[in-house]
Parts: sequence; C-alpha cells; structure tokens
Amino acid sequence: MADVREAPDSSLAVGRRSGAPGALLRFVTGRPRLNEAVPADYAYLLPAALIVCLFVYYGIYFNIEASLYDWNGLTSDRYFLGAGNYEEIVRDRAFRQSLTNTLIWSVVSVAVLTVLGFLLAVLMSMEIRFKSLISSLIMIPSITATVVVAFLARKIMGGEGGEINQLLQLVGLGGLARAWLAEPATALYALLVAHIWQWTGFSFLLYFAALTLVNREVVEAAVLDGAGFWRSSWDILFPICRSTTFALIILGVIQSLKTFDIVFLTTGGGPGRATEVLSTYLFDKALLESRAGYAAAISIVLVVLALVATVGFLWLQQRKSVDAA
Amino acid sequence: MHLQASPATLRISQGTLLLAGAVFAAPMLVAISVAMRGGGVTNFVTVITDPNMPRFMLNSLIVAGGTIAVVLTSATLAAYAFVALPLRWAQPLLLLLIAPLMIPPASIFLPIFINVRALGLLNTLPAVIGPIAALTIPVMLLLIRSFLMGVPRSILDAAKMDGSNSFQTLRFILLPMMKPILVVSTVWTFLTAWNEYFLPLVFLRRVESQVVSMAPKYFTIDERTPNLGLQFAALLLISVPTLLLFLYFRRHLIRPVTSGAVK
Repeated sequence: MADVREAPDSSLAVGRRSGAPGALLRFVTGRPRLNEAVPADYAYLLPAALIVCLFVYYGIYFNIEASLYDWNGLTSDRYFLGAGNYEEIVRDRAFRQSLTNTLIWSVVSVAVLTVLGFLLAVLMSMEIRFKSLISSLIMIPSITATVVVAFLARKIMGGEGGEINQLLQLVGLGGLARAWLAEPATALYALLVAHIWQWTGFSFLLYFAALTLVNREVVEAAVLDGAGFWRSSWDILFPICRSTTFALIILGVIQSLKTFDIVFLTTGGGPGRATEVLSTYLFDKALLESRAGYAAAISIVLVVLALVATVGFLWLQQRKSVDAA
Repeated sequence: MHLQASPATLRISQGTLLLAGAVFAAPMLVAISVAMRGGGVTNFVTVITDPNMPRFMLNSLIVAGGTIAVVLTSATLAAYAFVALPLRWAQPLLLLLIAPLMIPPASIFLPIFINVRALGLLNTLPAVIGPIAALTIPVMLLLIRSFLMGVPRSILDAAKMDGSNSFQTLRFILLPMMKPILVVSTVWTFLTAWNEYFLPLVFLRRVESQVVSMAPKYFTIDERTPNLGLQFAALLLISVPTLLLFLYFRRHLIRPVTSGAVK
C-alpha cells in the first residue's frame, strides 16, 4: 500500500523540480538509468566520434559555409553571394537533368533489384540442385569492384564488337544492334542493366536469409488452403519479408544518390547529359570547372535529399508496421 | 526452410535458376576471354611483372589494413559503450554516429580535398584511409552493436561482480566471444577499401601512390587504342583477392545477415 501511495507523489515531486525541460530531457535520453555513466564511459565513443566529426560533420559545415560564396576552391579570394548558388541550382537545367536521371536510377534500380532478388530467393528456397554454385554465381558481381563492372559494360555494350550486338546478330535481330552507351535514348538504361547485374546478388542474399527463417507451416497451410505456389509466394512470403524490402528500398535510394563510379568510368555523364547523375555533376563543377562554391551548394542539396529520403522511409516503415499490428 | 512445390513447378524453377546463373556468369567469361586476347596467358604475366603492379597491390593492402585497424577499433569501442554502459543521450549519440551511412562520398570530398591539399597530404595513403574509415564506421558500428545486443546481460553483470572494470570486461570477456563478427567486419571492410574508386581517384594522383582500382586505367596506355587484353588481365587480377575472400568466408558472410535481416 505504502508503495502505491508514494509512487505518484514522488514522480510528481520530480516533475515539479525539473519542470518541462526535465521532462524533455528524460524523453530524449530515454528512461533514467539505475547507475549513471561515468565520464570514462564516454571515452569509448571518442575515436569513432572524432573520425566521423572530422570527415563528415566538419565537411558538411564547410560546405554550408562555402555554398554561400562564389569561390574557385583554389585561391583565398571569394565573393559573398548569400543564397545565390542555391538560386542558380533552381534555374540550372543540367542540374535538373542530373536530378531526373538520379530519380530514374533509384526508382528503376530499387524496383528491379527487389523483385528480381525476391524471385531468385523464392526459387532458391525450393529443393533445387547446384544451389551453392548458382547462388555464388549470382553473388560474385556484388563483391566485384565497380571498376571491373564498368570496363565490362563498356566492352559488352560497345557498338562494334560488343557482345550484346553479336548476340543480337546471331539470333537475327541485328537491326537492333547499336552503341548502347553512346546513344542518349539507351545510355542510362544500359548503365542500369550493368548496375542491376552487379547488385542483384546482394538483394537476393538478403531475401534468401529472410526466407530461411520463415516458419514452414505458414506456407504449407496456405498451399493446403488451395492457393497455388506462385500465389502463396506473393501473397504470403513477400509481406513476411517486408522489413527486408524496406531495408533494400532505403539502401537502394541511398546507393542511387551515391552513384558515381559506374557513370564516371563508362560515359562520364554523356552523351550530352544523358547519364549525368548528381555525384558526377558535382564532381565536374568542383574539379573541372573549379566552381567550389556552387559544388558545395550541390553537396548540401545532395545531403538534404539523402536525409529526406531516409527519414521519409523510416517514417513510412513505422506507420506501416503500426498499421499491420 | 524448403518450399514445397509440384514437380512441374520445380522443373521450371530449376531451369530458370540455371539460366540465371549462366546470365550472371556470362560477363565474367567474356572478361576472361578478352584478357587472353593478343597474348594469351602472357597478358597476365605482363601485368603482374609490370614494375608498378606490386606497388598498386601494396598500396591497396596498406589502405585496406589501415582502414580495417581504424574502423574495427573505433566501431568495437563505440558499440560496446552503447550496449553495455549506462550512457545518457545514448539514442541521439547513436544517431549522430550512424547518420553518415547515407552521406554520398561526393558530397564531402571537396572540404577533405581542400584541407588535405593544404596539409600537403595529397598522394599519401592516409588521405584515403581517413574518409573511407569515416564512411565505413557507421555500418560496422551497427553490425557489431547488433551482435553485442545478443550477448546475455548476465555475462556482463557477472564480470562486474568479479570486479573487472569496463575495459577489462571488453578485453577479456567480450572480445574472445566476438571472433565471428570481427571476421565478418574485417572481410566487409577489406572489400570496401580494396574496391573503392572515387576517393583514390581524387586524392592519389601520382602513379607511385595509386591503388589497384586505378590499375586498369594505367594499362589503358592510350584511350583511342586501348590494349584490351592487358586491361582485362589487370581487372581479373585485382579481383582475385576479393574472390578468394568471398569463397573462403561465404558462410560467415551470410550468417549475420540471417540474424539481422528479420529484426
């Protein structure tokens, strides 16, 4: 009895003493702990925090500041523009083209990688022969350097002597042969094919791992219920793998914003700006055109996009899981 | 788990998977055949005996080794603090350390480049180890943290009762248990550092300081008439270490994904 009577009193007292800021503090820091941390405990965070702050947070701060100036990045003289660089971004057609390409890249790659990865994982969950050989073949491109993928794409999708064109000629579709990476209409999608070839193994691995943990009875019950094999895979297994799908979507969108190597090493953003993405455009502005201030402004836009995408998907995931519960 | 399917479905699936395996393998076979062009196996010998090739390999090994040392040490220490110590502000601090996961390298290279140049560190390997480590720490912190969260609380409490301080608990109780996750983290970090292209491209511009991802460009000689045989021999040779690591650690790489993917 005594405990019950005392509990509300003491919590009230704490509330009165610390007031609203105290409540906010408790909300941010989580539940108060029994034993408090000593300063030495925070020392464990120091190496990681130092490196991350030095390279990432300092870098972002530096870019925010630099983005307010007209500056070549080489000399110390620079002119204050205020929001001038950001206004230019809004009007910049080449920037808009890179943004559109990046969006196409993320939508297509995420959609294809999730569906393909899931399908292959479902097939691989059956009693299949040569399981480890086939899964190794699918996964090896994902551990291969993008340099290798880029040079291969250039060779295989090349106009003359490209293996794709040879294959088309072989099956009598020679009329379709073209320089896949050199034509504006196909270049971006050709690079996407290379990217998907590289990363299917990764999404396959994640789905396969998730499927190995699925309760077998769930699936068998559904099959007995009369749902066909494919139907039950789609209706039951895909929803079960929801957290994997969300992880792949977030990782895929972030990875799209990071896309650089494959474009830089194959088309360099061309023909024209057909394959220009945000990272390659930023690189051009910073190093080739020596417009450090403008490049810094693009960097900030890129960081904000990554932040918005991540927070947005996390929010969506939270809401979905609440709905499902 | 094995999915049950009718014999017909099974046959279709087997066929589809064999086809998929062939499609995924085909470009690699093309790479091998191109690497043989104009000289056969001698292409590989030419590449390996090029005076700069051991240089590239050694530089990449130093970059990978340095990154592994920095990332594993700092990520293990931080993950331990988040799991075992009663930190205040644990949640926001964790967010601060894992947020760089989503930062594109291109968006922070400019300040690093300008400062690295000012410090006279262009063309030195620490100039790439630092940023690669900074962008890899968040992933490894998450991975090691989720492993440590699986360690029973009673083990930590028992260590405390025995009178070990927080560092002794990490060093003598947890570290011996962490071998599997440290192996996985080492392999992943190695792959990340070995395959990295963007940061070496920006920071390592002299031939002596370059790494393996720059090797194919080095053997291009002339952009208009590239020596495809040498180029592809170089591409395959720099892939050998990653391939061996993958085949050797295949099972280990898959297991932590299994435990983490469903949560």
